Amino acid sequence: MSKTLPLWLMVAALAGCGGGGPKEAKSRLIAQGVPREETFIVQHVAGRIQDPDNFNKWIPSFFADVGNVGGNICLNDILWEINVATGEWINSLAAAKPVYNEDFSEMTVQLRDGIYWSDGVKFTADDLIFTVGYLAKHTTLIMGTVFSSFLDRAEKVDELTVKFHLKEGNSRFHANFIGTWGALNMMPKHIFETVEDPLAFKFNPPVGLSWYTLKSYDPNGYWYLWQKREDWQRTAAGMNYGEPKPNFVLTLWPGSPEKTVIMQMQHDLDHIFMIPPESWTALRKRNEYSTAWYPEYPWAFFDGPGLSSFYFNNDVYPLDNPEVRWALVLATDMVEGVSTAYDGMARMGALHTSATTTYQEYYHKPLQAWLKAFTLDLGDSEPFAPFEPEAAVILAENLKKKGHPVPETSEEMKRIWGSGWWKHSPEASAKLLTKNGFEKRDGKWMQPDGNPFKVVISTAGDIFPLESRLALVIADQWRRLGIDASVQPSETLPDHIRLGNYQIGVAWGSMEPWGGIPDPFRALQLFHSMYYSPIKQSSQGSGVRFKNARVDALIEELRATNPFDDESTKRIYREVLKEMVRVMPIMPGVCRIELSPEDNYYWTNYPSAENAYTVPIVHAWMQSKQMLAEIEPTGRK
Amino acid sequence: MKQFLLIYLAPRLVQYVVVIFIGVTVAFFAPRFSPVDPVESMMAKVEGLGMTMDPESVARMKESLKDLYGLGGSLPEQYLAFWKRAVTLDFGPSLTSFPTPVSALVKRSLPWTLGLLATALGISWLLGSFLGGVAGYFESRKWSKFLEAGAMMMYPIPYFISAIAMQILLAYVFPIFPVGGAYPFGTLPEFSLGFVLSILQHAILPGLSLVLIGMGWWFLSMKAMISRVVAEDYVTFAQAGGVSSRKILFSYAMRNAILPQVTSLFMAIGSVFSGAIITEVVFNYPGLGLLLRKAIATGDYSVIMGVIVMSIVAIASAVLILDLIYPLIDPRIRRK
Repeated sequence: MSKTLPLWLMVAALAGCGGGGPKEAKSRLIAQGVPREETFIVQHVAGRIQDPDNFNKWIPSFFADVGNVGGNICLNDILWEINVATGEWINSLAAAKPVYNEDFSEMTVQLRDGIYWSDGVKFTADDLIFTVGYLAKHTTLIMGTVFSSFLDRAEKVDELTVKFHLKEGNSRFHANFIGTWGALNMMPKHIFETVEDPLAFKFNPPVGLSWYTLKSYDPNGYWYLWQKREDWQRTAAGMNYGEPKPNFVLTLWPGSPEKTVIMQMQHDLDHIFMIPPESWTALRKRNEYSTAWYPEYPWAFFDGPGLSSFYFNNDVYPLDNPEVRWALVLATDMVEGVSTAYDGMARMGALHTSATTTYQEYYHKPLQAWLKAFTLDLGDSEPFAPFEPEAAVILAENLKKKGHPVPETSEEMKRIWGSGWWKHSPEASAKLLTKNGFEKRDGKWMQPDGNPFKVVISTAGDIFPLESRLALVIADQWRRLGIDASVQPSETLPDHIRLGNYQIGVAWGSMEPWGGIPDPFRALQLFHSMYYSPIKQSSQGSGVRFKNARVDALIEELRATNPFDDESTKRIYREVLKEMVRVMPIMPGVCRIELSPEDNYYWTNYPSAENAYTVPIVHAWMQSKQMLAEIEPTGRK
Repeated sequence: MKQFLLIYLAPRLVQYVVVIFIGVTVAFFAPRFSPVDPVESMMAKVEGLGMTMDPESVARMKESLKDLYGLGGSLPEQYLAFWKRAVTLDFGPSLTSFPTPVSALVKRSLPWTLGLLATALGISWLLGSFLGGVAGYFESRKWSKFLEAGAMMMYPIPYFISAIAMQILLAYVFPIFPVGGAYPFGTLPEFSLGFVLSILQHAILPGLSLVLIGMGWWFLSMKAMISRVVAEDYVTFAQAGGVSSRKILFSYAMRNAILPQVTSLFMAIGSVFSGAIITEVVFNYPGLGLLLRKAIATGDYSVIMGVIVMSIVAIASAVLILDLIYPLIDPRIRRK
């Protein structure tokens, strides 16, 4: 016993030290006066915030955006939101949609009455006018150059009505005030009008227009604790959705996916932003309270407006040739890609836009006939029709063989996995390459200039690890066909795309319109040649070095169209999408996989496929705030 | 004394200054040649908000940001301006956490890194060296072989694997320690016994992972050293003369074998100042490693410079101090 005594003492000491571990995990108090059962705990994805005491989100600082750490659902508010799940336009601080004059040189906004700042001051037209005027005056602030460029003056019509006089006609001026995850937040005039140096002002404690206020925050940048306002009725969120149920919201950065999963297994994390399919398998097996969007396979939410796609650098040889780009598309088996990379938990999109449920209705389905009739000239006598309208059905068959339950009807399959993709046709791909002077030697494709056909797919690495998976599968498919393809992860991919320092990049930003309403202008404008920059010069547009006179003309036509004339918008955008298919500047991919598990131990009635009142993306999407009013406490302590 | 200053100290001081100058110069230029541009990163974030900016507005905003971040002017001009500030340890504002000064960010992270890494390093060095020394001297004993097998098994395991394995084992399967962080979510730092205990509780798992892996190396290197030393003539003579094993081990063998260990320790102390990125990522610990990682990813030159300069100065200073105290440890140097 004497020899083993030190060992036993060590074990006892360790057990003693760890005594707080399980107690803390099950503790009913998050902090003094903050019971667990009254707190909704949400993962945010902004990482560790380096300057957590800075709440001035107009400063050009990468981290000082409280919207990403819960501010967008708790503190901030904007004029209008879009509910991607329902396609609904939501009037938030504004009482109605904006009204333009005939030449779009004036935009009038009617504000909602009865909204108060969290410090008790009434929100009026003065705040809106002050905000845009202040930003126009201070161009170093975020959005400063927008208002100094476009805005002539903002006129107060009455206490709740503002008329913007623009320097020139701009039918999408309201785009600066509308968003899913962010747009112009209002500045409280009564605070900022006394600020001498806005760049040095930290806006701490922050004053907001939404239904929570900041209670405390981690000085080391890992968490923020929000408390329900006593006067939540005097906010647009309160008026739209009713009383939020949690008295507190804790947003935190748990770190790596395994820690995130462990925290939810221990009921210390109610909402996870996103985990990979295999993590979800582990989580649902070990926590009976964890649920996802669908109650069973395919589990994930498919209606994220971003479409993870393969951005060809249109200025790099040989990808500057549309037929070479098409050859790569036909060399791609997206069905296998979705099945292998995501175990079927992603929707395919064949067009250069979102593949949300609403966008399927607006664009994908109405273009089916055109897509089926569309052909490519492969250099032989037979035109080739590349569209595969049954891609979802083929995928469903594939998944069924893997043992997954799939719907009975093709309509339901297409609703889940999309309205088609492009055919996987190595033969057609080879013909296109041959037509363009490529030659296959010893099983390897050689370019017309004699060099091997080599492509590097750049991905954002650990920032978006799920996108990297698809790239790996597709690179393997291309290699099997004799193309020397490889994948290069880089956390700085967005910079590479902006500077044109890439061949093919997996990204989604410039193809993400709001995804709920038909107007695609936010994303589409980036494809106008006015944003074109040669390689090595920073591109402010899509980054693919795209120039197309037809697309330019259509964007200009759209710019001159009333933004609320949905039928005209759809007509014009469908023409844009047809032209994009012809020249294929980007290979469309899949809706970004959003597998966001929720723990039903303390809270329940989360949004789901059966109860799709809003999107399940809580950390930063404004419209997710509705969840705070819809969830119900389970009563567990 | 004059001879000591001229022959021993002066060359080392010159070397100290030259090393810092070259290191800082390389650290200044290296991030500027990287493909990451902080202005571009900021613009990407701004555009992500969905604004409708025309190219002219974009160009104006980029110019504003360049001026704001102190990235205007030619590279030599920036270099001179940097040295003017660096001598006062002013690295300007962080580019990604503008306008927070780099010094404030470092000040916030440094205590966590020092507290965790320096303690873990100290413990692993002491334990590893002691056990390695004893095991090397009593090489034929069973427990010595057992300890060596354990160290050899631990040492080659990649740190991130052992760290994650320990995390899963001791934070999930047996939930003895918290999963990560420096203190519980929702708790505000305060000077109280409860909070200090909470910090210790959160530090045990990352600390343990560092100690176990670090100890393997210190153990093996000390054991190898001692094995060579015990074969020296003076040890044989001491044994033949009836000097006790304890005295031979601690007064002769270990004292001779410890020199390379001390050198390695001082080098390691210097590197503590740049943080342990893997430890901090795996355990979500708020230290300098995470700060540096984010700065590299976002092209925050100021923070990169701040952390690297601090690390260069720390390593160079550690080497200088080591040079100065070496004569105290090794009489042969003193006599030279």
